[in-house]
Formats: sequence, structure tokens, C-alpha cells
Amino acid sequence: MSKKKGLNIIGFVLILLISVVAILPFYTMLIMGTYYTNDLFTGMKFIPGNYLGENIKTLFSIDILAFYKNSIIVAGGSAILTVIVCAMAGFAFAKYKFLFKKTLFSSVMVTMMIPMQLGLVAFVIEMQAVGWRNSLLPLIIPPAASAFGVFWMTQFASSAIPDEVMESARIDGCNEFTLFVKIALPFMRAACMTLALLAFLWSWNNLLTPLVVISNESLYTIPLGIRQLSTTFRNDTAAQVLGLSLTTLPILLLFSAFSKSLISGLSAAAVKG
Amino acid sequence: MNKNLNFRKVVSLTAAIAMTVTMLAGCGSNNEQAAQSSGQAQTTTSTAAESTAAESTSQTGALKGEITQWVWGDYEKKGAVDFTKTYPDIKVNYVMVPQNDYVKKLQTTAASNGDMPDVANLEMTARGSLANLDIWEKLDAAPYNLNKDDLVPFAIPISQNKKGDIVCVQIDNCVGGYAYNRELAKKYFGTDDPAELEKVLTNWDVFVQKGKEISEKSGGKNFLFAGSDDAYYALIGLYTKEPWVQDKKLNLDTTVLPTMKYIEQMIKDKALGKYVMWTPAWNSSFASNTVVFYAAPTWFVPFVMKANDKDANGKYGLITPPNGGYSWGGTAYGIPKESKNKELAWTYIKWFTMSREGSEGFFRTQGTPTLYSKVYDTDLYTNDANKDPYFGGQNIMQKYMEIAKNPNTQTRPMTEYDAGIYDSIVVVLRAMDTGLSADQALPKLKADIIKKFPELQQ
Repeated sequence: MSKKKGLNIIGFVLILLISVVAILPFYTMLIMGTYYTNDLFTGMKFIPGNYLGENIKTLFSIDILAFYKNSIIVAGGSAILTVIVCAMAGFAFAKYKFLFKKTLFSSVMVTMMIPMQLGLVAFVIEMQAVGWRNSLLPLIIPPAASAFGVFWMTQFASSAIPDEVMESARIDGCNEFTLFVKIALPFMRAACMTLALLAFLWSWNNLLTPLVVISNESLYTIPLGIRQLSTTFRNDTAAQVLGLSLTTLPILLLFSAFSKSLISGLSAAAVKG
Repeated sequence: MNKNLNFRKVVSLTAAIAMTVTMLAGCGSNNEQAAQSSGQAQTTTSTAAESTAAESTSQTGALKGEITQWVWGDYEKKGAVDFTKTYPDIKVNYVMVPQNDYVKKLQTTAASNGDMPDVANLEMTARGSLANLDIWEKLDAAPYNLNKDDLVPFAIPISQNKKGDIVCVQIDNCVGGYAYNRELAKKYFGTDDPAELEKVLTNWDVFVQKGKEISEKSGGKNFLFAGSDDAYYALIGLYTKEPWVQDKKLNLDTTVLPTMKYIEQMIKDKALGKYVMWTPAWNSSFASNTVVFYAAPTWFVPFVMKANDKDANGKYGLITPPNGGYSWGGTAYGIPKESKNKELAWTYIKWFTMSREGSEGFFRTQGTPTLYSKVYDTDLYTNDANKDPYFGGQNIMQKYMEIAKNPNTQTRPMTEYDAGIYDSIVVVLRAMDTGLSADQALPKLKADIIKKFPELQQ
């Protein structure tokens, strides 16, 4: 009994240590936002400083609330659309037989290997041609066609949705769209939640696309807007850290709310391969 | 059932093709198309420029409309506050673009034939490569006809592309002196008077010798300069008359090597601190009272020194460098060919950079002189009202004007390779910090540059 208790204590201490290691960077990030930038580099800070008010003032000297709103619209919209498009494409690739299926799937996979930067100019020309420049649409709609998302959903759908269930539904008179919505999607729920979170995260942190397609400050997202605190002559690190700390909150909240789905989605995909 | 199955196949195939095409659309290369559209745009633009010029003649005194400038701070907005009084019908829209990403955005927009601003900023570091892109209006040609005599002579090389066309005009006069910590100067030189110090520090060999003395007397706690970057900038004035690349050949033996040799000596003498320029640690060096000299161009005083060492009235002084002076940094304004409001853009640039009113406004709001030569013989910058308590009441603008008028103050002609070469210099400086000699560093520097620009010869 006492041996078991001893092991428990060791386990507890180990978990505590790992937790400290994981939480410390986040804690110091919060603390850094309360100091004057120059003071940040005079040693590690563990106690809150007295410069929070000034940093908040600096942060609000840019239109942070508008940037926040834009980021939520973009990341939220992108996450929803990505899930819809990728779930449909993944379902099609996983469960239907059609001409050139393998070739098409391979070409989707190939796009994952090409860095976004290579096609940047073409992408901007395309957005210009369809009249989407200087709007949030290029940040919401094109990312919905995510190669990773399609791959992810295809892998998940191929093993998570039993063919027998689909056949039964068809025999019962279910059309293909209803089949997808009412039968397939519930099976793919965990993968959808995971993809939604990942898509939200990609979009939330994206700097390059907003930089090149938006030239209207009122449409800036957080990563782009917050860089205004860095100029040729000075980098207000503390204010930037404070801004980034505040902007990680939605991600933390989302993760807390959907952590079960995320973890189950990830582990299910890992097992199913 | 069979019909249903066929329908499913068609729908699936269509959906999958649509998905694939959408994904590939953003990834494919489309340079030819871009070049074609760019060509078309240029043709349209020259026609627009001609008609703009014609309208200009007929509309003199009745300028009206809106222009857009991409900026990275409130520098222009504050500086041009009087512009709207003179030209109430011209509205300037300032779009904030992060400075670190400015070049990327400008290049991508130009390449994709997107909406360019009417006025774009060309910061000194990237100006060589930007100015040599064929996207700018020639300002010394019609309809602009910029008069070179309106600018101080050393402003011309930093406004031209490699063909010699003036494609931008720098707003700020960035000549530099050496700012010094008065208390430390008194301690190590026996005086904090600028004139007396200039008498002592007559050449660079003396400077290096004094650096060694400072290090020895302070037990390694005080430094001549904050670091090798600072020393590099302090010395560029000596060797800036020739470009870094001439006829596709690197020209570093005479332009960079002598500077590196001085830096090597100062590192050996422990006369340089360990601060890497522009890092927050370097920012904090100003208040640390350990560094005697900083290379200080005009903009350095309000944006770096006063920003990082706020309550320091009387702490600093300013002297002329041994060789006469240098120009470091600066932001120039250019008009993209794609601008739809070229006449208004030129009116704005001309007012800002080449008018008494613009110079007054810019100096009043930003504390920096312009390069407009016609006011240099007036007391706009040098009158006693400009004595600066931060510098113990010294009239530092008088000093900067002395440097600006000094015929030895020259600027290095720009090349499109400058930004890449500068990055390589910084890498090599870091290696020198750890003991690499100048003679060892030069081949490494050249090799690093050739790797980036294989078309160049050593």
C-alpha cells in the first residue's frame, strides 16, 4: 500500500513538473505584457510589472478591436467553410468510385507539397480578377479548399463510415445529399471538430495572405495589425506580447471547449491511419 | 438505380475536379500572364501620365482629389499637417503597412498588377532593389521635371536607379554625427565640450586608441561603441563614395574592408560592447551609462535616443565625425507607374521634400530637416530656438547643417544588391565578434554574397 502511495507521489511530482514546464512560457508571456519593453531584457520576470496601463494604451493606439473582429470573422468563417468543403470532398474521395479518382486525389496531395509563397502572385492576380481584393473573402473562401483537410477527411471517412450503413440508407430511399448530411457527417463529427480547430488556428495566425491582399486598414486582422507596433526605429515588444496574449484567449477557449473532440479526432485518425 | 449511380459518378467527378482546380489555382506559376498584364498596364499608364500632364497644365491652382500613401507610422501624417492647409482639396489617405513587410507587399502588388498606392515609401535598406524595379515614374523627366539643384548634392545618388533616373526623393536629411555621453566623455577625455572633443578626436586611429584606453580604465565596463554594428555604422562615412558593386563585380576591398579592420582592432581592444543593434538589449544600452559614443544621424535623436533614454536632459553632446560626416538611412517617396493620381502625388511629394513650407512643417513636427537645399542658407534649422536641452543646450541642428554642407559628406550610389550585401555584412560582423579577423572575414563575406547573387564576380 505504502509502495503504491510512493509511486503516486512520484507520479504526481512528475506531472507537476511537466505542467510547470508547459505553463511557464504562457505565464511569462502574460507577465511580459506588464513591463516596459527595455526592462524585459534585464532578466526573467515572474512578478507583474507596473507598465500594464501604458502597454494597454499603446495597444489601443492601434485599432485592435477592429482587428480582433476581423480575425474572428475570418477565422470563424474559414473554419466553417473548410469543414463543409473538406468533409464533402473527403466523403466523395472515400466512398465513391469515379473516373480519375486516384489521379485527382494525388493532385490534391501534391498541392500540400508546394509552399504557399510560390503561388502568391498568381493567387493575388486571381483575387484581383474576381474582385475580392481589399475584402475579407480571400481569407475565408480559398482556404476552404484545404488539401490537408481533404486528405484528413478522406482518411477518416474511408474507415469511420461503414458501407453497410450507407447501403441501408440508400435502400430506405435516402438521396446522396441526405446520406451525407444525416448519415456520414455524424460519423465524421470528431474529424470535423479537429479540422475546424486547426483551420481556425491557421487562419487566426495567418500573416502573409492578409498582407498581400488587403490594403485597407479597417480590414486588417490581428497578426497584420499588431505589427504596426513595430516600426523602423523601435519594436514595442511588451505591447506586442500583451496584444498577442489577449489574442490567444479565443484559441484557448476554443480548445478548452472542444478539447475532447480534438483529442478523440486526433487519436482516432492516428489509429485508423 | 443504375441511372442514379451514373448521376452520383458525374456529381462526384465534377466536385472532385472543382476541388482540385481550386487548390491548384493558387499554386501554379503565372509569370507570363503577369508580365503580359504588367506590360498592358504600363502602356495604359503612360497614356494616363500624358493625359495627366495635359490636365495639369489646364488645372494649375485647382488641384482636387484623393491620394493614397502606404506608410508604417504617423511620420507623414504629422509631417504633412500643413499640406492640407495649402491644398485643402487634396485628401491624403494613409494606409499603415508594417515596415518589416512593406517591401514584400509592394513587390507582390506590383507583380500582380494590383492597386498600387499613389505614393510609396522607399526605405534606405531596400531602396537599391526597389528603385531598380521598372515600376516608378521618372521624376527628373516631364511632366515632373525635378530640379536637382533643389536637393543637397549627396541626396542625388540615393534617389537614382542604376540608369541614373531619379525615381524617388528622400524626405529626411540623415546626415550623422557622433552623440556622446557627457559624463563618460569628461571621465575619459577630461572634457565634455564638443569643440574640445573634436580637437582630440581628429582621426580614426586616435578614436581606436581612445577606445582601448576606455576599456582599460573602466576594467571592461565602459565601451567606445555599443557593439560592432554601431562601429560599422560610425565608420561607413569614410568609405561611401563608391558603390558596393561595379560592373557586376564586388567592390568591397576598398569600401568595406578598411572598416572591418578598424572593427577587428576595436574588438581586440575590448572597446566594443556586446549589444546587437536594434535588439531590445541594445535599446536599453542608452540608459545603462556604459557606452561613450553612438553614431547618430538626425533621425536617431528623436526616434532612438529620446525614445530609449527618456529622462536624460543634458546627458548627451554631439560632435562631427573625424572625416566630416556620413548619411545613414532615410525614407524616400516615389510615384508608382500604376498610380492613378500622379499629378496630385507629385504635388504632395514636391511640397513635402522641396518647399520651404514642407521643410518647416516636417522639422516642426518630426525634428528632422529635409534635403531641400534652398533653406540651408537660412536659419530655419539653426536658430537659437533649436537649442536642445537633451544635449545640454547644444544647437545640434547647427552641427548637422555643418555636416550636411561639408563637401566630404557623400553617399554611396545604390545598387540592387545592397540589401543582400548588408545582410551578409551583419552575418560576418557576428563572426568577427567571436574572433574572426577582417582578412578572414572578407572572403567569407564575398562567398556569402556570391551565393545569393551568382551573377556577381568576386
